[in-house]
Amino acid sequence: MNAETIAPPSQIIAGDCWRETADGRIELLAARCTACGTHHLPHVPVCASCSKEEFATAALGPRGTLYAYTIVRMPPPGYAGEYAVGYVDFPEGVRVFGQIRIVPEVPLASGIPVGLEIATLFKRPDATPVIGYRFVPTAGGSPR
Amino acid sequence: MSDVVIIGAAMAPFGRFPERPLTDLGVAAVRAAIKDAAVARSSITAAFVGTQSGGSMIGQRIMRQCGLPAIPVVNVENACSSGSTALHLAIAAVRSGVHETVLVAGLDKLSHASGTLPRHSDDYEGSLGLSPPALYAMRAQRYLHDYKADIRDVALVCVKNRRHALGNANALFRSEVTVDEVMASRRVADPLTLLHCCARSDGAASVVVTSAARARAIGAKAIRVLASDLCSGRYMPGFRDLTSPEITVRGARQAYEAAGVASKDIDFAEVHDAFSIAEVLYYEALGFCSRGEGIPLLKSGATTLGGSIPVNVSGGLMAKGHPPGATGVAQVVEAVEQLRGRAGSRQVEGAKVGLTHCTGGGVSGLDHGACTIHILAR
Repeated sequence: MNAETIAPPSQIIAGDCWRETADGRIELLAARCTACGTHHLPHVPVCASCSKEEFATAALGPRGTLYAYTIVRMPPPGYAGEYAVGYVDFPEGVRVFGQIRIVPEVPLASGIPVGLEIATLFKRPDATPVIGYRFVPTAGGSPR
Repeated sequence: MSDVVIIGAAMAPFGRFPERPLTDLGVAAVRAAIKDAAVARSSITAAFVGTQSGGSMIGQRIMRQCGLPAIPVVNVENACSSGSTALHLAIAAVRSGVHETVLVAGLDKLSHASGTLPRHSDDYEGSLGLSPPALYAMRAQRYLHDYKADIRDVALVCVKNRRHALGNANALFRSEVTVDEVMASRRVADPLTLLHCCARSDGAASVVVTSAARARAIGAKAIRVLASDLCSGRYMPGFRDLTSPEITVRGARQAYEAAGVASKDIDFAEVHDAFSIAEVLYYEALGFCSRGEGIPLLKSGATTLGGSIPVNVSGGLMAKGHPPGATGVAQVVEAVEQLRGRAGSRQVEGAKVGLTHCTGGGVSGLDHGACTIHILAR
């Protein structure tokens, strides 16, 4: 993690949905229903599939597959400029929304594998940086 | 259970009216709808008013100026479906016999806002940077990927709907655009440019709903309500298909069943073309063609005025602009005009059955927050 990106004051967003592992990777954390196994991200208090209320924390992936994406050319206030977003499918059966790092050598395409990093996603009106997970197209990955 | 009919329908022109209070637009539409219905004000016993951003007590602020000061008023918010949800509630009130003659209005004033409309700040995906144009851009991207389609063909939705509106005095835009102009407009979210997205506008629309028995008694020209369907989004944490709008598919099935008609029986439709790709997805979701056949249907001219299933002959949101709370009621006003044979240069010849579809509201994990489908017949 870059020291500059966590220089206070900053805010963590969706902090219950990701963590940094002991070896420095970023992984997503779903809420897995202990009754039916459905994974939820974002977390919910009641399972959408079976209505039970017991969940265990479950790490996803680590790799996901890009389902759909766009590059936002008219960013709202607080965004440094154009940014990419997309939906990423994880093998556990959950689809996760997030921003995507734009990597010139890996064009975005449905079906490419993506990993995760931590990044400043945007700034609050008072200039506080907001930090969260972001998808990263994986170099060498080919569209499925 | 009473059969329900619409006996009055009117709208204030959609446009950009920075100096005009929203209540003025509402009052204009309501007074015109009551005049069109030719009913005594004393027979109207309730009002249902839909707005997304018109603020508290919008209905009461309007009714006090319309000679309807003390009837029960229900103010309704359901994002883009606010006005059509108000209509749904009014129809239910008449059908059940709680009320016999009810006023409906939908209105909003949004042309002063700049940029894209954000999701609510506590929405998960919205908080991470998702806006309505970005979501529809992803639907378009995946649709083009799945069906090997061309975004220039999707732009034909904008070209068609702008052309349809040339003769519509209630539309914000009354000029034609070309595919090249659509594609050359400012980029919003790839592959969508600005003209692939509807504009916000200011406007109001109103209808008067009553029982079929009452309409007969007063000799009113009644348009029958065959179905009034309201769906909310189903939360799906898994791999939902962005190219098939689940809430519209479900709502259409319910509406056709309630009306006792099939998609082939629909003579024309007003659908929620907030984005170009949306209209293509709704052709498929409403059963006007099969999955993946939306663009061939569009290119065939079937959905153009004069075709087999004209869609958005009013100009749709693309040409009228989109005051969210007003849109769903304005679609019904257009359908009533069509079914009365009063639509002038954009009349669908021989129109007997029309469908209106209004959906919206971005919520994480839901296809949409709400979807309303009305099927009307003469």
